[in-house]
Amino acid sequence: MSSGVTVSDACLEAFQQLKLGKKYQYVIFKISDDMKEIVVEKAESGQDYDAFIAALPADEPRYAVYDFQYEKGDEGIRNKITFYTWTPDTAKIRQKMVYASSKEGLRRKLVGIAVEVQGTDFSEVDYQTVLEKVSRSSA
Amino acid sequence: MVTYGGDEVSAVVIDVGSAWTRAGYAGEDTPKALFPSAVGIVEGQGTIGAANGASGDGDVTMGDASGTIEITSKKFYVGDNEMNTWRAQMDIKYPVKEGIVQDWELYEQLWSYAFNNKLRIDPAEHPLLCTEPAWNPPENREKLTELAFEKFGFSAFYLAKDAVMTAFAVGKSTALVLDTGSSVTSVVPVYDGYVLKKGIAKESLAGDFISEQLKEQLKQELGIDIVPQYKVASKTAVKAGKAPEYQVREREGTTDSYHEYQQARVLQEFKESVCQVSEMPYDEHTLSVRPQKTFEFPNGYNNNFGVQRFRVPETMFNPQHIIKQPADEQFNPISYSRLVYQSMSHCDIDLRPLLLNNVVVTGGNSLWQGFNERLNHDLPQLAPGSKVKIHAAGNPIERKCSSWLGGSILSSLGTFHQLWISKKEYDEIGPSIVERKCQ
Repeated sequence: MSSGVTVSDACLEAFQQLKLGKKYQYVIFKISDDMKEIVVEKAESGQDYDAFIAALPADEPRYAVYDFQYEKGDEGIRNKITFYTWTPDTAKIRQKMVYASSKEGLRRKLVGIAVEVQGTDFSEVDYQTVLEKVSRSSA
Repeated sequence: MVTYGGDEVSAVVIDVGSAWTRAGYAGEDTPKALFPSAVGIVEGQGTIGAANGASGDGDVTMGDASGTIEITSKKFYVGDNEMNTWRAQMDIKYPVKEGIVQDWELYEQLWSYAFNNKLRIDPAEHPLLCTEPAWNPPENREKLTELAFEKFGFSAFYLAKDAVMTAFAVGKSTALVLDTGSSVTSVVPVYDGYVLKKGIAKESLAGDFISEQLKEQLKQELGIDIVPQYKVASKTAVKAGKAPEYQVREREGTTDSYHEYQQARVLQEFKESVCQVSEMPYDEHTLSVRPQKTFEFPNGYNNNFGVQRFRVPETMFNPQHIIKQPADEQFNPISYSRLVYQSMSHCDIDLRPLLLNNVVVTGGNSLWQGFNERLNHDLPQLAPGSKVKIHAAGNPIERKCSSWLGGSILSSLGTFHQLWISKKEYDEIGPSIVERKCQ
């Protein structure tokens, strides 16, 4: 079930550029203020993980994709695209509701996501936690 | 006719639970109407003397006026005030049990009271969002749709799963929702906004059951019977633990169900103000040093409750503490933490860590002091090695009305309107459309 909030074309475009063009390191999406569609809030390149986490607002939900790079033992460097649903506990209930019920619409359109992360506080999205998730996934 | 697409659609949201009905306008954060999901029925026979004058509204005596009224004529009473007004021969019934509608005639009374008496709306001008439990059978879903369109004439309708609404309201599209209410406790896994049916676990160890146990405990341990307010004419103050001194008010023609309803109200108050769940497994020694709490019953009996106030709530986490075995032999109670575990283990193995990390607790029966702490203590022991995280709204209203609240927000979204079942679609396809549109 979903809320009917639509996904703007710019979101897909930004995602494609992250996935294929390797132009971005991360993309942060938000729901527009009129709560009608999901739009790109920020797309950055060459940033490290901490900068990405710092770009998430402390008390508002967001969606994000991050091109996660890590070393897998001797097998070399791997890239996994991770999808984040960021809903801090302190966010307003209306926003939480809208983000949770609209997530599926966006998630379905982004093909090639390896790992999904649901975060409610910063400990759930910190580098180690996500690294563990990413290296466990076989996809 | 309502036009969709605009933001101003003023939808109405109703959530009928086994004990409470919540109804109100979409977009608001608390329901306008909150009343018991109970209906008082007086069969229309000329037995009510005007001299009683108990109700004072004159309506009850309708039967007398016409003298020879046939037995089939019934008068229904809904709402908190009506329920507590004493009436001779008034039977109190609950149309909803374990979230499922049992009696459609009475159920209609609840809707009618909510829409006509409380919200005072013209259904033709509003879409209606109704919540349902995850285990609602298809016949019931179609019947609800029919009721909304045919009987009440709403302009559009949507049926939403309460567990999904609760999960969304805390900002999660994937969660394990533990909802404990008055007649049923359920654990429903939600994944990406859809209920995983095979993982649903439920049992009738819930609020009402605990009240029954408390009643038995008070009787066995202290030898007291609950005397509700309506039976007390006057009382004298007595010392703690002494036999009550009170005058009984004679009430000829009180039904058993009315008496039980009133007893349940006293027990509810007792539960809320005295009882508590032990944060750790029940241990008489550690708990006996906890402060005592005082409670005075309507008939003046009062006492301090120490370790007793932990014993019955312990049932929820350790059913061995059951005092009075349930009448239904099929009913084999298990602890809430086990119920959560059971639900989770019926889900795909890859999902389990995710679900355990997103346990959402809701429902009026979860408001016990110590409830979350206890769950947080017991659950990790059942699932060692996994990270368990429990989310519960701090605000009691949010916990009692979480699914209503979720429905309220969702149906206030401009974009949600394309998802409604419109009257036109219903006319074309019939009630079965609900299976297609409301997953």
